Amino acid sequence: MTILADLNTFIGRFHPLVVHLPIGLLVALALTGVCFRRANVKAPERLLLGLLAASCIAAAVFGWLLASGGGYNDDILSRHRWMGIGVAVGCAACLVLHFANRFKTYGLVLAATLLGVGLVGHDGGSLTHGSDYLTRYMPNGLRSLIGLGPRVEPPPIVITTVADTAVYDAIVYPIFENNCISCHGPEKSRGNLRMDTHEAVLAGGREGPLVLVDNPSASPLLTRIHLPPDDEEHMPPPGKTPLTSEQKKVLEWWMQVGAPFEGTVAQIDTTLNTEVMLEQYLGLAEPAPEPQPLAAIAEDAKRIADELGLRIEPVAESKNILEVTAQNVASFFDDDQLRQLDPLAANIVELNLANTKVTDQGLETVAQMTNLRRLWLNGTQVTDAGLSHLSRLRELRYLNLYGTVVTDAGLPSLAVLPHLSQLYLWQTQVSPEAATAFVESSVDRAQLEAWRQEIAAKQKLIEEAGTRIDLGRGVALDPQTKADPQPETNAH
Amino acid sequence: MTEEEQKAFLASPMGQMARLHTRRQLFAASAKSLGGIALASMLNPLGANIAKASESPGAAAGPTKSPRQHAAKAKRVIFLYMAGGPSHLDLFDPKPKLMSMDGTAMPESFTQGQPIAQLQGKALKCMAPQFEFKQHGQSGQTISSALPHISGVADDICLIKSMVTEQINHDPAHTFMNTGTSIAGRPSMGSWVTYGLGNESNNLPGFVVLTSAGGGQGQPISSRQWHSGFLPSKFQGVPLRSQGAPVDYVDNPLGVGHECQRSVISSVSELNHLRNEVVDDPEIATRISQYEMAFRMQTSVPEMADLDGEPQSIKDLYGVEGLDGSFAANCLMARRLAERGVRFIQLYHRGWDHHGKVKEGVTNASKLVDQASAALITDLKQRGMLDDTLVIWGGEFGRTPMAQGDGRDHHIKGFSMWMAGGGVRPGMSYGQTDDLGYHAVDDVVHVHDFHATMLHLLGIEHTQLTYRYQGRDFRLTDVFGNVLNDILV
Repeated sequence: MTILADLNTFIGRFHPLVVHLPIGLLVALALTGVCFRRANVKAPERLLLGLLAASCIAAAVFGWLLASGGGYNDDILSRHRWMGIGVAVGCAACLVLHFANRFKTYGLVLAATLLGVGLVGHDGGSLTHGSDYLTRYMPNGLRSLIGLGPRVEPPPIVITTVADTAVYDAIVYPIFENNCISCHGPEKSRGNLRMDTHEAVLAGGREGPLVLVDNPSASPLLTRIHLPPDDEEHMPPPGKTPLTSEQKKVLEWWMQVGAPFEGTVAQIDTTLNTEVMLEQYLGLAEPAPEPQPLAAIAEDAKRIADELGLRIEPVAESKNILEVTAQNVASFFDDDQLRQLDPLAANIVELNLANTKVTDQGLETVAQMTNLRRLWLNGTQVTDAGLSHLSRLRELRYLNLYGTVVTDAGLPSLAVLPHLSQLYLWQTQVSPEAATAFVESSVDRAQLEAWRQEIAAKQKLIEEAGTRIDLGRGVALDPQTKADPQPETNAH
Repeated sequence: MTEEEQKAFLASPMGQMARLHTRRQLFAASAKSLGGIALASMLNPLGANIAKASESPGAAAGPTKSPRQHAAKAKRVIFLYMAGGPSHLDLFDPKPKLMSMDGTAMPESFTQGQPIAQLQGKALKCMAPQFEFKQHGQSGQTISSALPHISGVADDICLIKSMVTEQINHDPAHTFMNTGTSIAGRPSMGSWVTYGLGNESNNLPGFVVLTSAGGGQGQPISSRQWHSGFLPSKFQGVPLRSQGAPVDYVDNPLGVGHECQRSVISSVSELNHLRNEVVDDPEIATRISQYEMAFRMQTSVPEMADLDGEPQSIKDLYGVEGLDGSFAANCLMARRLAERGVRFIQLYHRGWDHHGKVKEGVTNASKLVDQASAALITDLKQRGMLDDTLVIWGGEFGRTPMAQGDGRDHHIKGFSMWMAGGGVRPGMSYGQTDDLGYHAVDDVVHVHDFHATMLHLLGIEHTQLTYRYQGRDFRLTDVFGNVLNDILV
């Protein structure tokens, strides 16, 4: 049954190709009729008429097969279908009239059929591209002429803060609108699935539900977008704009919080992680403050180093970014002392708090150091709860948590850190499985493969560029050859 | 002292220190002074640690520009020094050609006019590699079967197979490797590094030396190898004993308590300080700081050397039985020193001078160092320390492709070393020797280049790390040295 349906669809898809043949032939016949009114062109006209009738019937049959696959607006489809058949009949009539030498009637019927082709073609375009395809960008004057009101743009959604943003309307729906609704919407509903209204999203399509209300994370919406791009079931299909990894993360999150259609972010999910993720997605993330000039902080730095027994140094001569280590005072350095580093927050790029008395509370202070690249928390009392403070440290590359009590539950807070490349979790409660999953989720395998190929190509260029000469010093094994040295030259 | 001077003294870190009593206050205060010094170096391009020497009119001026020209990849160095000259041909540099020429005359084209040590005037015959070589890890580094554990960390190390040096006998070659010249009396690299960067730790010396026992070759290593030369003597390497108490007399004598010891040190410091006001001698300044350091080491050294806290799994990883002076125990100590902020740690292992019985010798020496060398890499890595700790493994030279009976002679025209961590590209091999492993032919690495690269990884531009002495600026790399950019991450 499906094989037959597939075959129907396969053949049906030739409809747009075949349908342009009779159009061309009709136009050719009309022009011939007008331009060679007095000449005797009966024979060529009959040849064209024969072709016209045949291609018309083929187009109609293919069209019928294509329509049987479903997924089109019913009203337009039925009008298109019957008018198409009407055009086919008109063509057949032209043939008969011409052979019967009833040229006057032939001319009238031909003109009528030509008009019909224009109308049926418009409907065909509407079916494929949407009914407002032609008029969407029409100037307002012209629109009013054909009885359409001036173009109405939906009011742009203004996003100012993550917390006040509507989860579905402003975050999720725009993804559907840009990437899904052209095939799963009012004009075309592939697989009987529409995604333009709440009800439609919940209703699902021919192949079942889109969103599993009881178990959102297993929803086919997610399964489909996570399939390998070359999988037949992958959405969006090849040739359509693929979803970015950020968009996928947003949809994942939406499912995690139960696929709500109403409510703002603040009403649905207030975790810092989500806020950070959405800040980055919506472009609301504030750039990290520039480190202050060395002269502006030197006094503070010296005073703080003196008072707390810290070692505070610029990373190199005359650089204004600082390394700070509490190594020498670790046994009694605590959250209160850490807080005193606040005036230097923007300048600190390395912070060694290993084995100090710093706790989760102290990580609130660390969270202010938005230029931080390397952070040692090994041997401290920090827990999963504290790690959530680190999710705004977008520059963080290195994080040492060895010998702490963090668990699998702490890892999601770190998943939003875009540059984190070294994470040390020896002697923690984190399971190997969770660690592996964390690595996998942060690796874009397809991108890596693309880079590998790029490197290989560049490597080849390097090898091909330039000449290498090898004089082979010391490789002359036979003492006799040394008397008569023959430099070996390899030119590539 | 006038009243003002006295006030100034009491306000000075030393004066404050003299009045402190509890351990916590002591640690906080000493940290303060050094923290302040680190800051001073930030405001003043002169490294604070060298400021004292350069201020005094009698002493030569220090560098006029800070040598820290870029952010450091490595914060500290652990140099596993394989004294005696490990045979690169039996460890890291397989030569199939040498195998096929085993027992035949060494072609004169290689040896003519070359420096030769004990084989001078003797018939030179090729000697095949004595061990099997296999590729290891994803990187496919080729390493000898004598080093199964180091083979296991092949993907973490960068093998340099094209080292050359200039001295063919042990002591001058050690001197060359350590100081960049064979002339005795120049500062060793550990001294240069601590002079340039200061010490991270307040409680342990910045440059520590450990020499392992065992291996059957007790060749002397002169203490000149870790001398600070013309640099202030506080930058000298401090040898810790590897058996028993690491430092002699580290415990207070019977009847002397901590407070009492504190007051003795404070009084001595005060007297030294008074004297220094008058003569302004950098060696008095050194003496003052070394008294303080020694006092702090009375607590920090026993704590550092106490291996009881190490879990059995870690001891097994290194193959450590206890503080028995073995190379393994020293490797574990090296990690503990590194964790506590010691800048330069040098472990000497003697037992690689195989003029005879090279197969047996390499087997024995490898058994003593292989497991612990690899364990050190593994252990640093799991603690997240390999990123900023540069580990170096190698000796003063290599050994000849020519046989000396059943051994090999000293060889300086091509030998191997390896580095790991600290910003060195892992899993790569750099440079090559010729078909018989005699001359380094590709990407030749002179000891000066090695020094320049090591300093570069520490954030130091080697041409800027200078010290004016007897009217000229001295450098570890003299007027040579190229950074090996190809092996940097």
